[in-house]
Amino acid sequence: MRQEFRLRTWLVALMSTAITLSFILVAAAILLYRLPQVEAQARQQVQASAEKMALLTERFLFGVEEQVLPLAELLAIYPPQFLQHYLDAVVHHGWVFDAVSVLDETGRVLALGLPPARRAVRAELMLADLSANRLFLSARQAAAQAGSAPPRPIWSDQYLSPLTGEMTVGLAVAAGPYLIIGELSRPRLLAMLQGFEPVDGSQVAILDRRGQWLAGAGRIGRHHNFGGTAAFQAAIAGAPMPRYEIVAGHRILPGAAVSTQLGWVFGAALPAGMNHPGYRITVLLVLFGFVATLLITLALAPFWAAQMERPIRRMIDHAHRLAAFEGSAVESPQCRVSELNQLGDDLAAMTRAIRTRAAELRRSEGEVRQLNLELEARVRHRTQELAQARDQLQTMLEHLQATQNQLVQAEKLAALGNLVAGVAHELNTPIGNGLMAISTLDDQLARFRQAMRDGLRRSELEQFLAAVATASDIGVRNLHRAADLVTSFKQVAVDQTSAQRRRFQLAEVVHEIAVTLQPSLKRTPYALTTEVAPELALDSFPGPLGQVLANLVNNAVIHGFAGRDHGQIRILGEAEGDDQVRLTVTDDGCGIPPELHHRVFDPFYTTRMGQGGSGLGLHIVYNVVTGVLGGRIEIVSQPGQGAAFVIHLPRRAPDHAGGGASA
Amino acid sequence: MMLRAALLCGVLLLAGCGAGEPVMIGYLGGLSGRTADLGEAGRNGVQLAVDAANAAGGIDGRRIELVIRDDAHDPAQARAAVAAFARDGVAVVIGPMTSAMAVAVLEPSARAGLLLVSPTVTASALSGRDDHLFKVSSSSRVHARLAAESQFRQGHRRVAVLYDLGNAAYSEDVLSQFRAAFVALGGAVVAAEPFTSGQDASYGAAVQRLRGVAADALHLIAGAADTVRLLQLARASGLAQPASTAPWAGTEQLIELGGGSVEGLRLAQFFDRDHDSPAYRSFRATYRARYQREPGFASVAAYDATRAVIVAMQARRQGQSLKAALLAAGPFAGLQQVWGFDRHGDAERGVWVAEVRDGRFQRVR
Repeated sequence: MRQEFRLRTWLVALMSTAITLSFILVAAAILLYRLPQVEAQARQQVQASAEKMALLTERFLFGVEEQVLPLAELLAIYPPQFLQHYLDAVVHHGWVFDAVSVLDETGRVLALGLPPARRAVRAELMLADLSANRLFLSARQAAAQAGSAPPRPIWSDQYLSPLTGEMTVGLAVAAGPYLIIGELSRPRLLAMLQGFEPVDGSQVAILDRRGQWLAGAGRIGRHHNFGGTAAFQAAIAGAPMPRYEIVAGHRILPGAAVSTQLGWVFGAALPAGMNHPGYRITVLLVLFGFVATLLITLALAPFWAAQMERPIRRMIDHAHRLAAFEGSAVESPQCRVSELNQLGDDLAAMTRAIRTRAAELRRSEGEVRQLNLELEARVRHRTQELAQARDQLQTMLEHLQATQNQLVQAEKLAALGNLVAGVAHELNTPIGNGLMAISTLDDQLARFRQAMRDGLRRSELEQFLAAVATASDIGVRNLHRAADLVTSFKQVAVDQTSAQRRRFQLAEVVHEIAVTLQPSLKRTPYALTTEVAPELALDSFPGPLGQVLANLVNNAVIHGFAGRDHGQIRILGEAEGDDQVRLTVTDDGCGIPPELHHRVFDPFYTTRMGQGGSGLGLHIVYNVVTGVLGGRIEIVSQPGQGAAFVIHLPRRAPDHAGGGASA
Repeated sequence: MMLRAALLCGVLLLAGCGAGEPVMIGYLGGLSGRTADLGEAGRNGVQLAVDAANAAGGIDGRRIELVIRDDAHDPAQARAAVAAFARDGVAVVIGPMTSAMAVAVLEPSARAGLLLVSPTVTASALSGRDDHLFKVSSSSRVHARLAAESQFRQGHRRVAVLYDLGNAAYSEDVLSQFRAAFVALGGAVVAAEPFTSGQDASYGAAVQRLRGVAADALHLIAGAADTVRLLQLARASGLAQPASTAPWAGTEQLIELGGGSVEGLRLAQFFDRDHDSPAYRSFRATYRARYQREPGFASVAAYDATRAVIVAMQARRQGQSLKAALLAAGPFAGLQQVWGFDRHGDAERGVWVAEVRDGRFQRVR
C-alpha cells in the first residue's frame, strides 16, 4: 500500500525537493570548480611565503654577517688577542651574538667575545676545544677549497655549543689561518626573526640542512625534525613540492625555498582542506546558502503550497457538493489556472449529463414502482379469490363428508330395509300356510256344526276328525318354521344394529349370515356355500363382521355375476397362526382388473353408477375391517377368473373407545 | 525527505572532518640548554619509531601523532609541559630524559593519569616503585658499579668525584652507588665536589677544591657539555689524572663538544655502538640518513621505549589500562636486546664500558 499524502504536504515536499536538489547540483558545481582554485591559490601563496621568508632571512643574516666581516679584515693586521675588546663590542649585550670566537687552525679558542655577564669565565670558556666541531670542520674545508679568494661566510646547522651550552647556529668566517665563529642561540634567532611572519596566515619554519627546526612563526613544528618529510626532501633535491604533507597530525599545503647562501630550508605551510580559511569559507558559504535556501523554502513552501492548493481546494469542495447533489449551481468557480478552469467546465458538463440521466432514471423508477403496486394489488386480489375458493371447497368437502355419512347411514337403512323385506317374505309362507290350514279347519268346523244340526253321521264325524288332524299338522309345522325364522332374524338384527363385542364361534356367525342371506339368494341362480373350520373362537364384533360378509356377497352378486345365469360364492374360514383367522370370500365371476384393485375400496367408486350401486359397499367393508375389527383386506383377482377378498382378522379385536359406532 | 537531505549533508561534512582520530604520544626532553644533546638524541629515536609505526599503518589504523615538548632541563618548564600534555589528551609520554625532571613531574603526571616511559632515567630512588614511571634503562647501581670496577681495574684506588647538583636526583644517587661499589672493591672516594650546571662560577670553584687532593683518578657525574667543560678546567688546573664520566655524558655530541680534551675518557654505556644485529644496523642506517648523525644510547633507548608503548597500545584489550597493557606486553624485541618491564615498570639494559680514542668511542674489552 503506497503512502497517501495530503496535497499541501505533497506540494511542499515537491518544492523543497526541487529546490534542494537544484541547490545541491549548483553547490556541487561551485565546490568542484572553486575548491581546486582556492587550493591552487593557497599553494602559490604558501610557496610565495616560503620564498619571501627565505629572502627576508637572507637579507637579515647578511646584515648579521656584516658585523663579523670587519673582524676578518682586522685579523689580517692584528693578532687575535688584540681584538678581544672588539669581539666584546660585537657581542655587546648579546642582542645578536651570544659569543664570537676566533679559532686557530686546531680549533683552539684564541679570542672570545662574550656578553658582560659571562666575561668573568672567559678564561674558562677559552679552554674549549672546537677541533671536532662540525662548523669548524666544514669552514676549514670550505677555506681550503676556496683557495686565495675569501670564502663566503658559512652558516651551520644547529649544534650544542661548548661555549654557550645552548642549542646554537653558528656563522663561520674564514680569515687567513683563523676562523671567526659567531654563535646565535636558537631562542635568539627566533627572537630576531619575530615579526617576519607572513600576513596571509602561513606558518613558516626555518630548517637547517638536517631538517631540524631552528625558528619560525607558530608553535607547530617547534622541536621537530622535518628531515623525513617528503616536502623537505623535495626542497633539498630541488624537486616539485608534494601536494600535501602531514605535520604533527595536520594536513598542510607545503611550500619551501632553499637558501643557497645560508644552506637552510624555508618551509611554509597553509592548512589544507577545511582548516584552510578560504577553503572553509567557500564550503561554509555554500553550506550556508544551502541551509538558507532550505530554510527559506521551508518557510515559503507552505505558503506557496497554500496558494496553489486554494483553487484546487475550491474545485474539490465544488466537486464534493456536486457529488452530494447539494445546491443547484453547476458552474465551477473560476480561477487563474486555465487547466483548473478547463477541469471545472468539464465537471459542469459532466454534472449536467449526470443530472439529466438521473432525472430520466427517477421517471422510469416511478413507472416501475406503479407497476409494482398494481402487481401487488392483483396478487392480493387473486390470493383473496383463492382463499374464497378454498373456503368454498372446504365447505363443499364438509358437505360431501356429511353427505357421505348420510349415504352410509342410508345404505345401512337400505340394507336393513332389504333385510326386513326378506324377513317378511320368508315369514309370509309359513304364516300364510298356517292361516290357510286354520281357515280350512274353520270351514270344516262350520260344516260339522251344520251336520250336527242336520244330524251327524259317522262318516261325517270321521271326515271332520281327519280334516282337523291335517289342519293342525300343517298349522303346527308352519308355525314352527316361522318361529325358527324369527329366532334367526332376531339374532342377526341384534348383531347388526348393535356393535356389541362378544365371544363367539366363527362358524356359527358365518352360518347365521348365510341363513340370513339365503332368502335373497333363493330368487337368484347363484349359490352360497360356507366352509369354516370348527372351534375358531373370536373375541370381536359379530355384527360388523356379518355386515362385511353380507356386503361382499352382495358385491359378488351385483358386480361379479352381473349378466350371468350361474355363480358360486364360497366363504372360507381358517386359522392363521395362533391369534389370527383368515376369511376368504371367493366368487367365480368376472373378476376385477388389477388397475382397479386399489380403487374399489374408495367411497362412491362403482362401475354401476345409476344402476342401483351406491359405491359404498366395499368402502364400508374396508372401513369395518381396518377400523373396528383391526384387520386388513386384500384382493386377489384377475379379469374373467373371479375375485377373492382375503380378510385377515385378529382373534381378539383391538379395544376402541366407542369403536365401531359408525359401522 | 528534507530532513534526510540535511542529515546526509551533515554526515558528509563530518566524514570530511574527522576520519580516525590520531593516537597522541608525547615526548618530553631537554631540547634547549646544556642537556639538549640528550634530548635531541632521544627525540630522534622516538620520531623514527613513530614514523615507522605510521608507515606500517599506525595503531589499529589510527595515525600516531607525536607531540614534542621541551623541558629545557627546568623543573617548572617540565611541569608546564606535563600540564600541556594532559590538556592535549596525551596519555603516554616518552621521557623525561633525566632523573631530575622525572622527580619534578612524577607527582603531577600521576595526578593527570599520564604514563611516563623514560628511556634514560636511572636514579635508583625511582626504581622498584609501582608508579606511573616506566624505566627502560637499568638502575644507577648497575652502571655505577661498572664504572667503579672499571676504575678499580685500571689500578685507581683514590677517586675524586665532581657531580652536578642540577640533576641531583641522578648525580647524588650515582655518587653514592659509585662510592659504595668502589669502597666495596677496596678503593676510596677521596673527594666529591658538587657544581651546578649552568652556573658559570660553580665549575671553576668545584675544580679548585680538588686541587691538592691526592686522587689517582677523576670521576665526573654530569652531562656531556659539563663533562667537557669540567675536564678542560681540570686539565688546565693541573689535574691530569685519568678520568671517567657517567653514562649521562655519553652522547654522540661529547666528542664534538670536547674535541681532543675528551681523549682517554672512560664511561659506562647502555649500548654497543658496533652492535651487529640486523635491526640495529637498519636503524643506524635510517638514523644517519635522516639526521646526518650517529645514533646515541638515548636514541636507541628512546626507540625501544616508543616501540614498547606502540606494541602495548596495539595489544591493549578493551578496558585494560595502558599501564597494565605495557606491563603485560613484553618481552620486546629491542634494537640490541630482548627486554621487558618487571612488575614495577623497570627494565634491565646491557651496559658496556667505552673509551674515547682517536675522536671516537671504542668499547673496552
